[in-house]
Parts: sequence; structure tokens; C-alpha cells
Amino acid sequence: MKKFAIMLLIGFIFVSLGTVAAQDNALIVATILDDVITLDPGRAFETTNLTIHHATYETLLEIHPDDLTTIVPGLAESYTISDDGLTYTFTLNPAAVFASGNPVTAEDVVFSWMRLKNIKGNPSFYADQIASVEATDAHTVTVTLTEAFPAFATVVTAPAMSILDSAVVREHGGTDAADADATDTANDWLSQNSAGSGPFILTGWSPETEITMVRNDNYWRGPAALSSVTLRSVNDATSALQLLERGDVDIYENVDKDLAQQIQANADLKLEVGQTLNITYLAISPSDTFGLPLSDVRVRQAIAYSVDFDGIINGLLSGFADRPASILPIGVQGSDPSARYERNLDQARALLADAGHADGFNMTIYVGSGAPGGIPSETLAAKIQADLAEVGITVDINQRPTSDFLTAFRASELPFLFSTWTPDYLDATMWSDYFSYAGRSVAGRILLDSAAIADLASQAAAETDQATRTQLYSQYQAAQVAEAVFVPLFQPQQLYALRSNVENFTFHPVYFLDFYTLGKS
Amino acid sequence: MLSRYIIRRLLLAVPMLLGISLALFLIYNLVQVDPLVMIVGERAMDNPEIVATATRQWGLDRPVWEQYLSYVGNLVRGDFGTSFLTRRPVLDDLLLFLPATMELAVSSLLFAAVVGIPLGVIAGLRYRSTLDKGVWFISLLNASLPPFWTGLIFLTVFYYFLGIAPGPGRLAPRIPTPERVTGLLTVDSLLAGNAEAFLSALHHLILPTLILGGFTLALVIRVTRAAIIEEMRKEYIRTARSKGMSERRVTVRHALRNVLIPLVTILGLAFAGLLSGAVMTETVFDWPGLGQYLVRAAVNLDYPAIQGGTLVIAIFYILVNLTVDILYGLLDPRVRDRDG
Repeated sequence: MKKFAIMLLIGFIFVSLGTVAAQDNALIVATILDDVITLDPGRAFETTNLTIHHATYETLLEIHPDDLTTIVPGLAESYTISDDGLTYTFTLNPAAVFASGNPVTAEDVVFSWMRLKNIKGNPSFYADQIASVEATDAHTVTVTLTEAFPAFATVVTAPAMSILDSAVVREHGGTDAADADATDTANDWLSQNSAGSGPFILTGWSPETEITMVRNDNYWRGPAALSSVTLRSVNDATSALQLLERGDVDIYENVDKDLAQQIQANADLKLEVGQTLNITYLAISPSDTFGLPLSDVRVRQAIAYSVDFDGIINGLLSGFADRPASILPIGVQGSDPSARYERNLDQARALLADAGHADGFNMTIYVGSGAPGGIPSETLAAKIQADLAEVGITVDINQRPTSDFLTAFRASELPFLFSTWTPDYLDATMWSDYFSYAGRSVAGRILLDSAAIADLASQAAAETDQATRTQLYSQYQAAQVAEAVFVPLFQPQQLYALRSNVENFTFHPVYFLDFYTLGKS
Repeated sequence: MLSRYIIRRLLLAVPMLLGISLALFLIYNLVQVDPLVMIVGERAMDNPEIVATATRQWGLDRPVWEQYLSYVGNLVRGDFGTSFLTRRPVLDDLLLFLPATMELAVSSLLFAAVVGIPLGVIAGLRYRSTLDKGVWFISLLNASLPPFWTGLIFLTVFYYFLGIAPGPGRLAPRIPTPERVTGLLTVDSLLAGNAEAFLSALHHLILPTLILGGFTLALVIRVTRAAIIEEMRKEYIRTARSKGMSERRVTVRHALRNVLIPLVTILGLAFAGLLSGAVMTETVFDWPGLGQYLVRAAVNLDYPAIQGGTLVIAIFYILVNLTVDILYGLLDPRVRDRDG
């Protein structure tokens, strides 16, 4: 009898919670939350926070996923640029209000941007070009830059440039004073709550567990369809897919490419593809300090002709990737994929022979521990090793923990490697500033020193006429392709698996998911 | 007497922990990784002002020995440093992840003890019977099947196909997490008076407990069975029987009492092992515990986290060993008298 009772109890526990009824219009997203350090827009500089900030805050200008080269109004209904390119004047939309009910004013813009700058945190470099921000009247903001910076309007669309409700943030210890890095104490509060004008309100963050948001019913552009959004941490791909298939979650973010077919075959699910602006590139140092044949441009071009790009994209990424010609990704000003290298082994062998290396040579490829585009680094390295072996180049693979790899890369110790670049905003300077100038950033790490590339990069960056700028960036792309120091391997796509009742999916290469447009039928 | 013994043992632990912390610290400095790569991130590295602020804030401008001394000084005050990866105090992180592991370890240990000891006793008493062979088979199966494999199979069968067990994680995704008090979801949900969350948390413990506890179960069965077989052959058992004592009394009062001594050792070590060795189970069941935290810290060379986590595990081993030794004394007067 006792045994029977115990069995019954166990049975009860098993069955009692087998199913939990789905709440209407509450969206549950299975994702990985381990990168979240803070949700304060003045301090966060990771990936997940971009999605959250886009949902809870707004920027003065916006770039919508349907056209990545056009800037459209956000909190500002219009803006003007002075002839010298130094002064930007924004006119705020008078209808805009924060979730608290406070109107969005010029004072809030001054507070938000000066706070970002003075906190001196990781995202503060967004405000590097700002010399001063002034509220001319309640709805007019005048920004003076330290130098002409045509990319500024694009920078304004970045989630880090979000406008915070200054009254609310000050109430919780926030300040935009010059010593804000020591005196601002709003971080804890802003990590659990939001003070923005976006369609959702942040209601909590449990580290490594979940982030919760509810609808902002007073949203000035009309309330969202979803009543709430919860991001749940699910680290394992199989677990995430099982939860989705059983209906315990509505969206599974960042799907493994191996699982794509399984999802497409399931009538309850649908697969959505987002084209990122990330680039995984091969970096080949042109410097002769390494004592390698790589300093000869013909050898670098031979390597570019030897890589089996289609094999990588179709074989290792199941076709879910694109490939630009240079470090400017497809979708960015001046980028034209038709100029890219295609595999041509005869051409590669001829170039090697010209350079006096007909019999090939030995070198090492250095890689980190991550999985660019979802391909484990060691797999991608082995593929490149096999490809280059076909023209007689023997490659050893040296894999290290990513932090170790980055330390050596940064110290300019690595002549041959692959790495990945992810953008924070969509202006072409997001790439050309980092991959062009001797001694600076990625170009410095790989010891690229090309006057042609550097000149084109600075001319294009300073050009305000868009047609001329596009032309300069295509010349820049051509110079990069000829130099063959950075050879893009792929521009990966990001996959999302959705329950079939989730509608109006859109993907943005900076903030990814847009919960405002999403709905459930 | 006992309290003096405990104090002496705890004092001995101090140099041991210092040694561990020093070794870890030196290893890290030998690796030659620039922690700023982790702290500041790729792009901000180009801004000297941000780099300078970070270097100063994290004390990286000071010599290594000074960094170590201030680390030890902070440890004494209960400050384990700040994780490069999460930017939270390591102690906060450990308190965040440890309860999940603790909840799973306790339920696994309970499962292993409550099921394993009776099974082991029965198998030992009916040595070489069919029942014994059956129990032996269960224990063999549990000891030899890898948890990441059984875990996946269990999830696929009981959750995915049958839908009678809950999925991975500690709580159903649609149930809001109860307010954090202890970090043990079963306790927190009860404190919040949230029956739905409590049942869900309990429910989510079942499969990982079966998997993680399975190995300990096998161990407990084997040790109990072997010890019972050995004890039942001894002279004092024959004496007890010849005095006309009931078989039940002979087993429980005499044999089992002696079996408890090796069992306490096994259970103690198993508990410490469950805390540090649940990585596989935690991965398969997406259980946000200490194992997951340390693996991530190791992969990213998040040195303060590795050091803090290792120290906490070392402290656990020391405490468990101490507890086992004290229990020995209580169970076996010979040990107590020798030490006293």
C-alpha cells in the first residue's frame, strides 16, 4: 500500500507539469545570454544588449533593415549639417514621450550623450567626435564635432547613442558630469530597468538565466502586438531545438546550420535567414619581418586564388553565407562582390612560380578557439590547410584560446591567420577606419602599410557627397583586393527558427531581432 | 576535545589554500595573456584613454607580487576579485551558479543513498541470487554509461517523444523565475508561495538526478554489497545469531553499522565530486551550475573566476573530509579514542 502511494506520488509529479499552457502574446526566445555584463546603454558593449536596447530605447535617427544605406527619422524628425560638416542640428519630434510619460526633450539628448562620453566605458568611443552638445530649445539639439565626420549621422543610429529619460536616470544615481566615470551609480538600476521611449520596458535581468520585458502601452508610435518578451538562456543547440519543437519557446535564436534542414522539414516551424554584416577574413601579413614569402604580393594573391571559397560556404556553412570582395561587406557603400577572388589553381601556381616559389613553402596559420559563422576554428583551419596544399604550400595549424590568440595578434606577432569583424554601425568607416592605416587597429596588427589604401580610406571617410563617396569606396575596394592582405572567406547568415504562428520577422545586422514588428497569430 | 580537533584541522587548511592560490596565480602569469584583451574588447583597445582607465581600475599597472598580495588581502576579507568575463565579483558569480549545482548534487546524493543502500544490503544478503545479479547489472549499467549519452537519450525519450518529463533547464521557460533568495529554486519558489514554480523546479530535477546520481548509486550499491558480504562472514555475526537474535536485528544493528564507515567516506567524496564533476550533466541538461561557469572561465582564461572557483571547490573538499573524519569518530569508537 505504501509502495503504491509512493508510485502514485511520483507519477503525479511527472504528469502534473508535463504541459504548461502557452500565454497569449507572450514571446519566449531561447538564446545565449552569457555575454551580458550590464544593460546600461552607457556601459554595455556586448551583443545581446543591442537587441534589448533597440526594444527599450530609441535613437534620434534610424536605419531600417529594408534599406541599410538610408537614414530615416527616429526621435528626431529632421536634421541639418553645416557646410563645414562640424555642426549637426537635430529637431526632435514633439510627439515623442518616454515610457515614464515624460516628453523627450533636447535636455535628455545632452544628458544621454554626455553621460556616454564621460563614463569612459567601452562604448564611449561612439562619442569620441563630439566636442559639445547643446539644447538650443526644448526640441532642438546642436552638436559640434571635433572634426568633419560624415559618418556621424550613421553613428547616431547605434544603440549606444540611445536617448535616456534624464529625470529618471538622475533619480537613480545617473550623472553626465565630467567625472561620471567615478560618480555615476545608475549601472545597477539600468541593468534591471529601462528609462527609454522604446516599445518595451525592461523589467528584469537574472544573469545567465533570463531577461524580461513588457509592452510599453504608452508607446508614442502605437503599442506593440506582443504583451511581453522573455529571453531565456539555453546554451545547448539540441536543447533549444527540442524546446522549440515542443512549443515551450517561440523562437530559437542563432540556429546551428546543421539543424536547418530538420527545421525546414517540420510543419510547425519555419526558418528565417538574416544576412549579417560580419566578415570572417584571412589576414596575410605583407611585412618582411616574419621572413616568409608572404611579403611578395604575388604570393598573397596566389593564396587568395587557392582557397576553395565555394567549398567552405556550401560544405561547411550549408550555403548560409555570402562573400564580398574586400573587407567592405555586401550591403555597405562601395562593396561589389563581382570583384572577388575565385578559386583558380593554375593562376595560383603561375603566381607562385613568378615569385620564385614554384615548389611552395612552409608556414603556420594561427587561429583562436571560437567558431566563426558556426564553423569550429580547427575545421576551417584544416580546410585552408588542405586547399593550400594543392599548390604546394604546407600549412601547420596553431590553435590557442581566443584571448591568447588576440594577445599575439594585437602584438603583431602573427603573419597568417583568420579572424572575424562585427560592426557596431553601418557606415563604411566601420571597416575602412580599422583595416587601412599603418600602425592602427587591425591594419596595424597585420603590419599593412599601403599609402594607396590609407589615402583612399581617408578621402572616402571625409567625403560628404554620397555619389563621390561610393566611387571612392569602390576604388578603395579595388586597392584592397589587389593588395590581398585581407581576403574575406565568408559573410555568414544568421538563422532563426520560429514556431509557425510567429509573424512579421525582420532581421537587422546591428540589433538583430525587432520585437516591435513581431506578432503571434 | 572535538572542537580542538576541528580547529586544528581548519588551521591546517589555511596554508593549503594559500599554496593553491599561489600556484594558480603563478601559472596565470606564466601564460602571458594580456587581460586587457578580455576586459576592454577589440575596438576600444584603440582608444588610449579607455585603456588607461581600465588598466588603473583593474590594478594591472602594479607589479605581479603586489597584485598577489592585494589578492590574498582581499581574499581574507571575502573578496574573490572580479571576473573579466561577467564583470561581477567572483563571489557573486559563485553564489549565482553554486546553488544550481548544490541543488542537483544534494538530490543526486539523496537518490544514491536512499536507493543504493537498501539495494546493496539486499544484494549482499542474497549473495549470488538472481536478485543480486539484477542489482549488480543495474550498478554496472550506471557506472559504465556516459552521462552525456544517457542524458540525451532520456531527454529525447521522456521529454521530446513522450512529453512526460520536463525539458532541459531548471524551470519551464514560460514560468517566471521566483524572486531569488537562496538560489535554490525549490526553496525560493516555496518562499514565494509559488506552487507552480515549485512543482516545475522539482520536476526538472528528476532526469538530471537520475543521470548524475546514477554513477554514485552504482558506487554505493557496490560498496554496500561488498561490505555486507564481508561483514556477514565475520565471527561476531555468528555469535549474534547463536544468541538467538533475529536476522533483521543482526543485519541492521550489527552488520549495517560497520558498513556505514566505508559508506560515509564514499558518500563524502561523492558529494564533493558531484559539486565539481557535474560538467557533463550540466551541459546536457543546460543546467546553469558551477561546472558550466568554470568551463567557460577556463576557455576564456577568466583568471579571477578560475581561481575563485578552484578555491571554493578546494574548500568544499576540505570541509567534506573534515566532516567525514568527525563522522568516523562518532561511528567508530576506536578512531575517537585514538584521536582523543
